[in-house]
Amino acid sequence: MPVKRDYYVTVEGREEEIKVDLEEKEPFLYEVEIDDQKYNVDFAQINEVVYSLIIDGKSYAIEISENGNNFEVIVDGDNYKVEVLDEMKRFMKMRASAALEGRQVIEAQMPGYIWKRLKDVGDEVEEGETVMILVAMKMENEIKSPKKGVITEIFVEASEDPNESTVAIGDKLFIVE
Amino acid sequence: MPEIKKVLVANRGEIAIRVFRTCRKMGIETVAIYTHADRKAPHVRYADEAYCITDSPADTSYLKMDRIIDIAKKTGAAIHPGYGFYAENADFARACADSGIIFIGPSPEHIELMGSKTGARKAMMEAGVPVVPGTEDPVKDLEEARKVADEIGYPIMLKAVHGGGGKGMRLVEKPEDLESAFRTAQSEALNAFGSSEVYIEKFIVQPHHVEIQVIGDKHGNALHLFERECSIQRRHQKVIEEAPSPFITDETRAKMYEVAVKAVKKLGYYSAGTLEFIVGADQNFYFLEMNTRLQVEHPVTELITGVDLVNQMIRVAAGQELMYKQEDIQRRGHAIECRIYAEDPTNNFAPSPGLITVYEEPGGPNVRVDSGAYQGYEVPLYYDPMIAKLCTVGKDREYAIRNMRRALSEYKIAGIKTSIPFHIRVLKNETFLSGNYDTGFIDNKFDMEDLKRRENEDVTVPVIAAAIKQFLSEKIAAERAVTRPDVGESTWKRSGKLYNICNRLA
Repeated sequence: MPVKRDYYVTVEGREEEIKVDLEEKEPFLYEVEIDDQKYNVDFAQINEVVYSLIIDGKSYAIEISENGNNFEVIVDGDNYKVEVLDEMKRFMKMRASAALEGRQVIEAQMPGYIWKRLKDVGDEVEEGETVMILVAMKMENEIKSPKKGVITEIFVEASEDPNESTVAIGDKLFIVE
Repeated sequence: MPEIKKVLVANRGEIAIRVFRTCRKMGIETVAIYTHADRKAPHVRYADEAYCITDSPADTSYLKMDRIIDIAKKTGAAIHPGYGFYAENADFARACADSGIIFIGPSPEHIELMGSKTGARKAMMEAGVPVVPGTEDPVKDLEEARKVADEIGYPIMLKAVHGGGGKGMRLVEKPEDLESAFRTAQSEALNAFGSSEVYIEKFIVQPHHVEIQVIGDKHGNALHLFERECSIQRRHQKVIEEAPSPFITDETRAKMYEVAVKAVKKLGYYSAGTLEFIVGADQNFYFLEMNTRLQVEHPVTELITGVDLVNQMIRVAAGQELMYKQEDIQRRGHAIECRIYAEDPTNNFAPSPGLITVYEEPGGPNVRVDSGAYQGYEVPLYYDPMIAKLCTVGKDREYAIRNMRRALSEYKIAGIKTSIPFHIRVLKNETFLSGNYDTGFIDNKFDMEDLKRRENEDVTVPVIAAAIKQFLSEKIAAERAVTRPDVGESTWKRSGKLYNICNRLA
């Protein structure tokens, strides 16, 4: 039995949301409708990240990394960050972002260890001011505040010993409000 | 004449495997050393023998000189240092000699001489190699500065004698600007380094980094293996190298070969080495420094000449003559190398260590991959971010570049970010394609924002791909929820869940 789904898709750097109607005709064969344009798609997973995608007969070898509703899609070396939400999740996200307006959680963008902390909880920071220094592969990376505000929470300790202050990608570093 | 039956590589990663490959081809046994962080590294499994050099799990360094010498002595191995770590350490080369171990590299004296900026400059001047015109000693006053500047010609650079990192440097383009620049440079130097002494160097306009690969033996033979153009650099780190240089003329290259070989013979240098030159827009070239080791970019030379440089280094270290005469060395086609770093080019090249979940190397004709990575390998946080070198060759530059673009598109690495998207962009850049690029290319001619910009702004493909992937993830989650008998959940509750899921998907 064909299964239909509707999604709201946003691509990083683009303001408009793209409405996608998707119908599974057979396993791995789909009809996708975007802006009244219909596409016949054959979708096959090759390994953990590599996929074969045939859209109306045109073949693409692409890479997809998934993190919840967020995807990173690489097409011919071009990198796209894509978020896919259904109606319910879209509504929940809008409500959550309204509630958290003004509060920003800063997460580690790379694995490494926190070598130095330059600010404490309660400190005021300017936009672009360095809050801590993360060391990865012998390089110091300044972790800056994305906005002017007050540091309300810090989640990591600093240490010169890499084993004592290691962070992974996505680990929370601090909150500025 | 000593015979080399076993070789220990005092290094890790791709260069260790590179040396081992030649050893295996020559029937020489191999010894790897490793740290706790590198227990699962491919060089450890490639070698015939492997020894841990660290005493504690926290220790992550390959700089355990006594331990390395000890292992070499016990195993009866000669030592090849690769590049980095001990490759240009005269004390290490001397310690090998003192312990009766063959060091596969130049003499400690040559390493020491070329390691000293002033010593190397002086030795090269004596050997007839042009060096960047300027004063070797600090200039006394403005009058002397004016005299020197007039002699070497503008533009000139004023540099703090005790400076570094660009501080205390002043570019002077015309005579009337000299006085104020001289005073400023002096006061900056005093403030920053506690001494107002400055010296003068000719400023090279649109500089190119061109280097000549040389090799000599202990019998007085020396030859060159053509040049490499290494001007594509980021933060003074080479990123792409190619041979031959698309910039220098045949006349310039002939002159460079001649002075390089003459210098190697005059110095009595043996082993592989590289003379690095800065070449101006006017084709004048000046000696920068000599690398007394096998370089990262040596495959480019191997691809256009067919000479195995490691093989020749081992022969020379064993006291044999070079296998080739200059006339045997023929250049065939054009080669290019892209260094694949574990870095995120879209996030200001932030380091990206971690687990490689997917690893597929490119293949096909005229492609060479020197790699220290594999699927399931965890790129350690502690070492240099270079994980592989991708090289291609073609009948000319255009074919080598096309082949490289093809190979880059086939290279699939997931789990970590790599510099592959950056290389793809550079290889499409007009200035790069013209071959008329200099060391300022990445800063001046390459727009970093270009990495985030897409060639094709039609986002249909990524949108369809992500939507289908989301659909499949939901489907799998739904199937799991139905088939998994969760503890404590009643049949009624599971039936209800199934009903809801079916409704949602229908």
